[in-house]
Amino acid sequence: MSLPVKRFLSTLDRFLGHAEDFLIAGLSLAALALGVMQVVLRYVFNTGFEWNEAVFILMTISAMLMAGVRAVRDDRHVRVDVLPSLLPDRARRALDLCALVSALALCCFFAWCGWLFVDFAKMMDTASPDTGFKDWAVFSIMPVAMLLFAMRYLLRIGGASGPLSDSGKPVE
Amino acid sequence: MTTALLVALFFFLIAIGAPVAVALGGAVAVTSLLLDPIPLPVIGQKVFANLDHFSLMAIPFFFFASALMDSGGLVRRLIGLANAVVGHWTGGLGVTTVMSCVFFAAISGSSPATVAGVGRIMYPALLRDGYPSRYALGALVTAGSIGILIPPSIPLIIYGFVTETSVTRLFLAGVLPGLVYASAMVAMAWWLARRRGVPRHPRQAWPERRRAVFSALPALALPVMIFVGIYGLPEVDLGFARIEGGAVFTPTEAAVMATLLAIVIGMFVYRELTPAGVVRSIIDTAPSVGMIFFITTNALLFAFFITKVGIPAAVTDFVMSLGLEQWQFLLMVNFLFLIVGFFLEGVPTILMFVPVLFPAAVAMGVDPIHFGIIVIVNIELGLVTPPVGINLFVATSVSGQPVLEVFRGALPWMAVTLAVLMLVTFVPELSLLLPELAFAK
Repeated sequence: MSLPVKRFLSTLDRFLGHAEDFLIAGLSLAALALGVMQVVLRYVFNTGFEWNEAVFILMTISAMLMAGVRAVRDDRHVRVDVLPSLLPDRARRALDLCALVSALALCCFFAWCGWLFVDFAKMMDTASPDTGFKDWAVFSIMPVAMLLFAMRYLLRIGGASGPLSDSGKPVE
Repeated sequence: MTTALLVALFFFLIAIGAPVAVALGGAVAVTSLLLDPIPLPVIGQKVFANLDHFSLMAIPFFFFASALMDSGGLVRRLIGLANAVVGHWTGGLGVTTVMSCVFFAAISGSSPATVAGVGRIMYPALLRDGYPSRYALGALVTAGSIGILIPPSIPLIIYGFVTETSVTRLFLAGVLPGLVYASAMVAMAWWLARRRGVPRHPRQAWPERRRAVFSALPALALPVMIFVGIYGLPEVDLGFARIEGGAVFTPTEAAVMATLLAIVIGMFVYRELTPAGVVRSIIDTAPSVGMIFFITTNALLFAFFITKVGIPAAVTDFVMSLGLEQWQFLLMVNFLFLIVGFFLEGVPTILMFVPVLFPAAVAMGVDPIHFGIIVIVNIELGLVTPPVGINLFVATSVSGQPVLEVFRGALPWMAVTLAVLMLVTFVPELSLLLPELAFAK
């Protein structure tokens, strides 16, 4: 891989890393604040906002999807690597590459399916009764997240982040 | 043909080392595209809608609460308390390890978090005190697994979510088996320490013990808040005043409040947590939950597909056609989970196997809550069996010892887990007594 491409991938990796940190922490803390507000309003003041729970769920899901993207970088998605660990290094790398390509393909497929549903929801022009948010806007969280997953898997395949082998270090 | 392709693809993807989530989703995607189509927008909708449930939101917040307890100094105080109470017994530090795991379990809901949190402090302390390394490792990995039986419990939340069983009842069902398990672990810690002749400490002076208790009181407020919040106080009529009973929170709200309380105690009572530390703990912990969420959505898609092609119904018919007694079926389930536990972690195990086995269990007359507790104890066993026992890996990273050494250390303690598994399997009252008493009305 040429040096400019490597540099580009490495910059993208860093940029994504910062964006993930910001979104995971920001959305989780915002969800925590909403959750606490819901409890306090309901049990102390006997009142509440009807949008509270729906927005709390949306923020938590978004934060955890971002965390799932981060887990791709850190190779924290659970896998059974009994067979790969028994193989010689070259074969193991080949299998790892196959696994990463399968994951990339699935994320692209989910992004595509998600996009189709967003398109359908846009056509129906429905909205959540609790929040008033358009359904297409809410459901677009998933295709966006899946594209970010795909980007992370691409970076893994390109060797810019995460271990491709068991070494725990990015492949040069 | 559809089932054969689905199963073949799943095992192929698992064999090449693809993430479990990808194996589940990938098998469905390819099988659906080739043989038994689900409209693509429906897949797109399901992948998001599978996660859009309030009860699932408890998982990240229980994870955050346990991470913040660790970084906020709460775990250290709880260990200090356990040591003050039982540290002078024979095998006192071993018993302290078990008790600390129980205290931590009552807040964390995660077994690896329990092993990591307690292990970082107790492993060096046990070695310093002359306990053999294997004893220390065994105590940690097996007692740490209590974390998922004593409420709150992440696997129980997922089981409840998958089977549409009340999480509140499941939490309560885990209490008695958890206490029996903890007592058996304490007995094992004492017996092994006696056999190995480890040194015994003098009883701490009363002022010292009082200090440990007072220091741990804010940390103990957390499990009390969770328990009282979820189950409420009993209804009390004092004549001049009446205390209304009943629950205050849902389990998800309890998780949120536990996180808040862990932050408040860590920052303002113990003063060991900073705002930057809170953010760091959340960022470091979140990927584990992100992984669970990604598996969950793929596993539910898998469950939707296998239900569509009729696999759970076929499994139920097959089991019924065998003419098994209930105890034989449960023994078979235990054996299956034992094998699966060698290769899979707890959450994927529940998400993959429970949708298939649950209808058969119900058809055999097994109570869904009892079945849930059996599944959880099986998972506890899986957490300490190689090659994929997550507690072994956590203990390895805490102690620097090889996985095999940790497993050897865990072997005598696993006898306790097996005994508890048999007890929980064949004495359903152990799991069902408390929910029946609490929800009798």
